[in-house]
Amino acid sequence: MTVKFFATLKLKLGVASVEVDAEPGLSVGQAIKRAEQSTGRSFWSDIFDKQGKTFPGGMVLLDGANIAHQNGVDTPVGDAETISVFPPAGGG
Amino acid sequence: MAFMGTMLRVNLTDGTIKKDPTPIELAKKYVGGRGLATRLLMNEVDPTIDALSPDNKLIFATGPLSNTNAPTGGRYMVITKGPLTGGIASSNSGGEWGAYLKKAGYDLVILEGKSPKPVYLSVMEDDVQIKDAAHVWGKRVPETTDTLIAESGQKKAKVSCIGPAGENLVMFASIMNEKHRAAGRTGVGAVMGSKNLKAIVVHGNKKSPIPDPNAFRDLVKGKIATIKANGITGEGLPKLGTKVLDNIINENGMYPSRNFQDVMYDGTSHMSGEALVEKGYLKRNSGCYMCPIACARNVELPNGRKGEGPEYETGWAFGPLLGFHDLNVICDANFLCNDLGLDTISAGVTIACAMEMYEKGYIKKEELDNGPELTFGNSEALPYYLYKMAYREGIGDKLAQGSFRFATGYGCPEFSMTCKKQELPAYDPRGVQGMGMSYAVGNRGGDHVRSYLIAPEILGSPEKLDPQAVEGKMQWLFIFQNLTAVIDSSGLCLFTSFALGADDYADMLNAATGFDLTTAQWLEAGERIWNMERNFNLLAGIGPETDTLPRRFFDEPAQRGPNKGKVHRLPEMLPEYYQLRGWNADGTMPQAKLEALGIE
Repeated sequence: MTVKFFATLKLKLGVASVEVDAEPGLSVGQAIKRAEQSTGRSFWSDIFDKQGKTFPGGMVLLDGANIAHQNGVDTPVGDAETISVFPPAGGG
Repeated sequence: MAFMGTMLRVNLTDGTIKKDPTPIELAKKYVGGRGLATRLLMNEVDPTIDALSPDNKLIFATGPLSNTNAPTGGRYMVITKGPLTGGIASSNSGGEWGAYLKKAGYDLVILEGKSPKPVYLSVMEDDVQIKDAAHVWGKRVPETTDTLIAESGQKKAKVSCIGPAGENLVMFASIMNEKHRAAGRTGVGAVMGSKNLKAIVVHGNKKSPIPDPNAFRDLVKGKIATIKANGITGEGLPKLGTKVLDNIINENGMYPSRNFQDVMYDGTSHMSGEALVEKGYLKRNSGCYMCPIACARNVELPNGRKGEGPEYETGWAFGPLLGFHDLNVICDANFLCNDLGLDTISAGVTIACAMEMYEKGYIKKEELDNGPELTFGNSEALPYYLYKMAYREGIGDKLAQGSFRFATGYGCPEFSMTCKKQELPAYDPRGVQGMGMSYAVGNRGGDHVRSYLIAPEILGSPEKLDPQAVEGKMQWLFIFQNLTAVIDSSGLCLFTSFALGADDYADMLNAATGFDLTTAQWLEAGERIWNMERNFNLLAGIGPETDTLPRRFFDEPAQRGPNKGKVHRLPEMLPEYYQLRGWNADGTMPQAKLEALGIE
């Protein structure tokens, strides 16, 4: 599956996305850890607090659906194709 | 007490200028700025008048925190009866002009009547004069600004002015200050143009009186630290500005394209805030008066053109909404609107409406006078029709009325994406139920900054709400509308609310004014302001039947993305909203509600 990076995270990593292996049962959190390994850069703490919850303004979407309304980082990726990762951002 | 204690009353018909005491006793009930000015407008203007007649009044207002060192304390508001909606018009701008009006010694300027010839108002502390503006009438915003600063003899003088669009009474003309900052929405620039008033130039060196300046400074330091420590205001907005939202909103499946016919846009990454950085167009960010966030974008294009922006809404309205994503075209169109004094949201949404009508055969090719075809994806059309609108040439004369009147003129108002005749911003209601309600019941029509429910529904600030849920949303809308009225009226920027809460604003307002109101009392002032604005609209003939959305959002489900199949669920929420507001079930306002809030 594809893990896409946005906003300051994209600028920090210098890549728009990476592909990770996603076997059945893999969680979103595990997929993001694999994406960290793939980029060679640590960014988990840019997105999540110590409880694994996204900071205000940050979000992780699984095929567009926010994992905050599912099981957070424990949400199984299922047959989703894309994870979108956003660090805190906002505007109007 | 934070107020300068004096307001200017300028009669443009007979040229008289009066310096009246600011009614500070009313500030305990209406805060200042938006609230106090709306109160004065209600006292002095019949809501049923023609907005562009000399009977209308135009009020430039600062808040008690303007010209203080409170974070973002430089804003001002323009309040009047608006030509676009026919109801309360109220538009808010940053930069430094607001602070400088107070430095000149004045909390508000009330403009009455109509000058027999083009003039501008010069406010240099005690020296206040109406001056001839024949030499800048017809000029664009940058030339007007430079000319009037030079004439003032004060390099730091600040100019708030209209461009050709305001002079030509385009119904969504903006008022621009410091060339790039806009009181953009609700057509306040047209009212200024109708009065033959080109500009207000301000300068001074006065400080706002604060009861205990040291205590206030210490208090403010804490609030600034909170803003800087927040991920949105301390990191996201400074680095990428509001345009960071392009991908966020698109990935969430609620980024309207092709006049809201689609809820996503495939080329978003090519014109996003990230792209602005990656292509090297973004040179630096900058901030308004006393702003610790500094979200303004300073851009230079490969063609050498420089300017500020685009903000998120503008980039969307001049790109994906019209079916293209050329950042050069988007930025140049933004610069053009700033020069001409046009609201970018209403301008873009009106052209999108015309494109859909043209593609569906309602507008004939011969009506375009050999101009570019109004088809989605045709970026050539954008600058051409912006210019035509501003100068009211050809079909631009009809477009200058906004999309509702334009589409209605062809018998197809359903293509106008408006609420109360004002064009909608860049969040599709089918993907975010609370924000859709915010549009539907907004006092100034389709608008996103009077109750920005995107914060909780999408950004998770202060907590994450499910954007498709309807239960409990109206309580959030109620609180956001009231709190935003307080923030606007205080003279601060709404962006501070990503980091600060109601108690923080109450702290700063009490410390600045010397009032001793509880947070609940300040929020009640916000509720009072909201109800007063609603009452103005009801008296103007804008009834509860306008508390709705374009049919598209009920009849045409989202076609793709995470919101596929969704429509807006307004009927499930509107009765609850009326109930929370204490209004009648039909949306009218009981006299007892006005009395309970102490609205005379």
